Amino acid sequence: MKMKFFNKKISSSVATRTSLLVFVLITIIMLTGGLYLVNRVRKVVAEETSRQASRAMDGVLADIDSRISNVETAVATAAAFADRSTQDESLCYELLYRLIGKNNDISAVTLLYRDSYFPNLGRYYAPTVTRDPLSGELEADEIGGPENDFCYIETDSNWIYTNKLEEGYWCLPYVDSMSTKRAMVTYSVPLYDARDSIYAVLCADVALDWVSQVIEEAKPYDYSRVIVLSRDSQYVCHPEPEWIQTVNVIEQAHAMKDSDFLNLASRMLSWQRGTDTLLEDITYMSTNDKARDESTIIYYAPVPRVQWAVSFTMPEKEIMRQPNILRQSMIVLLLIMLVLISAALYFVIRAQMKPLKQLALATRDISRGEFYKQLPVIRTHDEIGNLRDSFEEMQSSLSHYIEELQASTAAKASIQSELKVASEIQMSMLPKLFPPYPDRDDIDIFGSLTPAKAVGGDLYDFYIRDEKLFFCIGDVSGKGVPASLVMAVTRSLFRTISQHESQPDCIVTQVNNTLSDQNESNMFVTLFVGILDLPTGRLRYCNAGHDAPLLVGDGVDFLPCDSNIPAGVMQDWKYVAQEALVHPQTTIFLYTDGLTEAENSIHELFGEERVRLVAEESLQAQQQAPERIIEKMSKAVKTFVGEAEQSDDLTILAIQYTKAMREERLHKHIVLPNDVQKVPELAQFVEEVCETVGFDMATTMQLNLAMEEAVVNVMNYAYPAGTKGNIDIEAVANDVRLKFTITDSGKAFDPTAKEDVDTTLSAEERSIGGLGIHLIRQIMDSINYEYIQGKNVLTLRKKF
Amino acid sequence: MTTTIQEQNGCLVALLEGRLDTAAAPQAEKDMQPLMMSEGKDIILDCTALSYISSSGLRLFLSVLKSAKPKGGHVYITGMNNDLRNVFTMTGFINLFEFK
Repeated sequence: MKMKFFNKKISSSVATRTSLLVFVLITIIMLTGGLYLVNRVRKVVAEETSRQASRAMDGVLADIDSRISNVETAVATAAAFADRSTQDESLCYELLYRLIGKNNDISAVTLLYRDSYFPNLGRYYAPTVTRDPLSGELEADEIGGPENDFCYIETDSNWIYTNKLEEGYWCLPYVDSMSTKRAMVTYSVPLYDARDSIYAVLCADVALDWVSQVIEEAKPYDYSRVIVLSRDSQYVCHPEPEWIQTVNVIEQAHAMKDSDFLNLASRMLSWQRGTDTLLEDITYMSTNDKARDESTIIYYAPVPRVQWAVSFTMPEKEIMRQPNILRQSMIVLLLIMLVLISAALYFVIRAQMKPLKQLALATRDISRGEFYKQLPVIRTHDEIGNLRDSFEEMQSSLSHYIEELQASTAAKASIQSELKVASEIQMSMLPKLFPPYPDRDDIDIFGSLTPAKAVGGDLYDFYIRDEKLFFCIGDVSGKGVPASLVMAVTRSLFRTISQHESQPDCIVTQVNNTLSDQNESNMFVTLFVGILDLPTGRLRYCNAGHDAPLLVGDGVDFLPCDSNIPAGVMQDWKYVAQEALVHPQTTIFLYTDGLTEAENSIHELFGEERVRLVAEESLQAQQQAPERIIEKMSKAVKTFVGEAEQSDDLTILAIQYTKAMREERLHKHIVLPNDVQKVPELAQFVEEVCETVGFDMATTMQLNLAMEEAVVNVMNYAYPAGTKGNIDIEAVANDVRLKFTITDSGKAFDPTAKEDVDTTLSAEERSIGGLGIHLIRQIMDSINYEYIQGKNVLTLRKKF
Repeated sequence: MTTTIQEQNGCLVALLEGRLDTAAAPQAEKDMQPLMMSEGKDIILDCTALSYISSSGLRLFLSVLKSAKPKGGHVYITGMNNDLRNVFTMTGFINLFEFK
C-alpha cells in the first residue's frame, strides 16, 4: 500500500523522479570516489607509519648498538692494558675502578682469576667492583668461590667455559641474583699471559634497564608497545615485567596455537627485519593465553651485536584513527552535500517544469472538450516552448476536425435514418402477414427476407387474382440502396403487369422491356414468375435467370427451368413460359442465391445439394408446410454459416398447394349455342341449380346476372361473327361452394385480363364496356380463366 | 319484356316490365328510342315491374342518360326493388341517376 503510493508519487512528478535518479547516481559516484580516497589515505597512512617505525627502529638500533659497543670498547681497552696491573693482586682493583668509572652503563666489573693464580689467596680469587644502582657509589668486593669459578662463567641461565672463550662474548640476559633482581647481561673478555694462555676473564655486567628506556623513548608512537627477544627466545623487554626472562615466546606461540605469531617469532629469531600484521595484539595477553582481539602491525629488526630482536607493535585501530575520523566526516559531508544537491535539483527541475505542468492542465481541459481553451504563454524557445506551439497547432486542427466530424456524423445519422425508413418502406412492399389467406384451404404460404444491408435487392411477392396465385421471387444485381430501388421498381412492375396479364412469359417480357429501357446503370434482376391455377394445380412459370425452385411433394426435385437471361439485360428477349402440374400437398420452395451461396467462415458455399438435403429431411419428417420448411432451412443455413458475416440478401418463399378434394353434391350440365336469344334458357338453368343448392332469391338473381354476363361475353366474342359454336356450361356444388364452368372451343380469350371499370366516373366519362366482368367480380367469390387443350375454360365460384 | 312510353305532366315516363336481359335488350332499345328523341324533357324510368337487369340493360339506361343530359333533361328512376338497386350500387350507376 505504502509502496504503491510511493511509486505513484514518484512516477507522477518529473522533478521528484529526476532528483531521485540524480541523487542515486551522485551517491554512487561520490561513494565510489570517497571510498577510493579513504583507501588511498589509509594506504598513505600505513606507509607513513611504516616509514616512521623504520626510522624509529633505526634510531633504537643505533642507540643500543652504540651503548653496547661502548661497553665492548671499554672492556677491550681495559683488557688490553690488564697485564700491567693484573699480575699483582693489589693493583687489579685499580683496573676495575677505572673501567667501571669510565662507563656508566656498566653496573659491575669482575676479574675471575685462574685456579690458584695467586697462591697466597687460595684457589678462588675474584675481585669485583659494583655500582650501587640508587646512589651510584662504587664498592669493591671479592666474590671468589665455587659459584664464581674461573673455569666457567655462570649466569642464571647459561654457562660458558672460559677455555672456549677466544674474544669478547655477550652472554644471554639473565636476572641478577643479587638483591636488585635486575635484568642483566654480561660481556666477558679473556686475558692472555705471555705464553698466550688465559689466566683470567674480565666480566662487565650491564643492567638492561636502559634498553627498555631507550626503546620506550625512541618508539614511533605513544601507543606502540615494545618487545625485545633474546636468542634463547626469552623476552628481554616486555610491557609485562614479570615475563622478562621467564616466558619463552616460541612456547607461548605454540600454546596459543597461533601460526602467524609463531611465524613472526621465527622470523624475528632468525634476525630478519620486516613488518607483520597479526589479527591480535600479542602484547596484551590475558591469563588464559588469549591475546587481545585487535589487528596489529608489528615492526621488527635484529641487534646483531647482542643477538636480540627488537619490535614495536602498532594497533591498526590506533594507526587508522585519523583516517577513520576522516572517513566518518567524509560520509557526513557527503550526505549533507547529497541532500543539498537533491533539494536544489528538485527545485530547479520543478521550476523548469512549471510551464509543462500548466500546459498539461490546459491540454487536459482541451481533452475534456474545451477546444478553445487558451494555452499558457511560454516565452522560452526551448523544447517546452516548441511543445506548446505544437499543442496549439494540434488544438486548432483538432477543433477543425471535430467540426468536420460532427457535420459528417450528422450527415451519416440522417442517411442512417433515411435508410431505416427506406428499409421499412421496402419491407412493407412485401407481403409479410402470414398466413396470408387464413380463410382459404387450398393455399399456404410463408416467406422470409433477410437483407445483408439495411436495404436489400431481393424481392418476393404474391397475390391471388381470379383463383390464380401470382407469385414471383427475384434478386437484383448488387446490394444496398441501388439494388433496393430496382427491387421496388421490379415489384411494382410485377404487380401492375400481372393485374391484366395472366401469362408468366408476357409478364417477364414486359418487366424486361421496361427495365432494359434506358438501363444506364446496367442493373439487372433474376426473376422467377409463377402463376398457380388454384382450382387445377396447373403451374405456369417463366424463369429469367433465377435459381430453379424445388418441388417438395412426392419427392424433392428441382423444377425444370429454361436458362433465360435475367431481366434488364437485353430488350425484346423472347422469354418462354413453362408448365407443370402441382399435386396437392406439394410445396414450391423458392429462394435467392443468398441461400445457396451462404458462406461459412472457411468460404464454403451452402450449395444446392444442401438445400435439397434439408428439403428431403423436411419431407421425410412430414414437415413440408411452408413455415416449417423455411424454419428448418433457416436453422440449417444459420448453423452452417456460424459466426461468418451474412454476405448476401437471403430470401426464401415457400408455397404449398393444399387443395382438398370434396364430395360433389350437385352436377348439372347444359350446352347452349352462341346465340344471345338463348339467355332465358341459361336463366332457367341457373335458377334450377340455385334452387337445388338452396340460394335465396336475391342471390339467385345475382348469380343469374353473373352467369348471363359471362356466357353472353363468350357468345359475343369467342366465335367469329356469323359462325356457329357451342358453349358448355357445367354446374358443380360441394359442401362449400357452387362452381360454374363455362367452356368453349373458340379463340383464346381471357376476360379476366382486363382492367376493371372505374365506378366513380361521371356519366359522360363512363364507357359502356367492361361492366359485365365488373359485375361478375362483384357477385362471385372468384373468377378463373384457363386455356386448356384449345378450350377457354372460365370458372366462377360462389361460397354458400 | 315490355316497354311502354307515356307522357305525363310534361315528362316522358317509360314503364318497364319483366326481365331486361341481353336477349331482351335489342327490342327494349328500339322501344326506348322515343326517349332518345326527347327535346330536353325529363325522363322517368318506372322500374316497379322490372324484375331483372343485366349489363345490356344498364348500358341502355346509360345511353338514355347520355342523350338526355346535354339537352338539359333529367333522368329519374322510380320504384326500383332492392335487388336491382344492388346491381346499380355494384356498378356505381347509383351515383349517375336520380331516384324518386
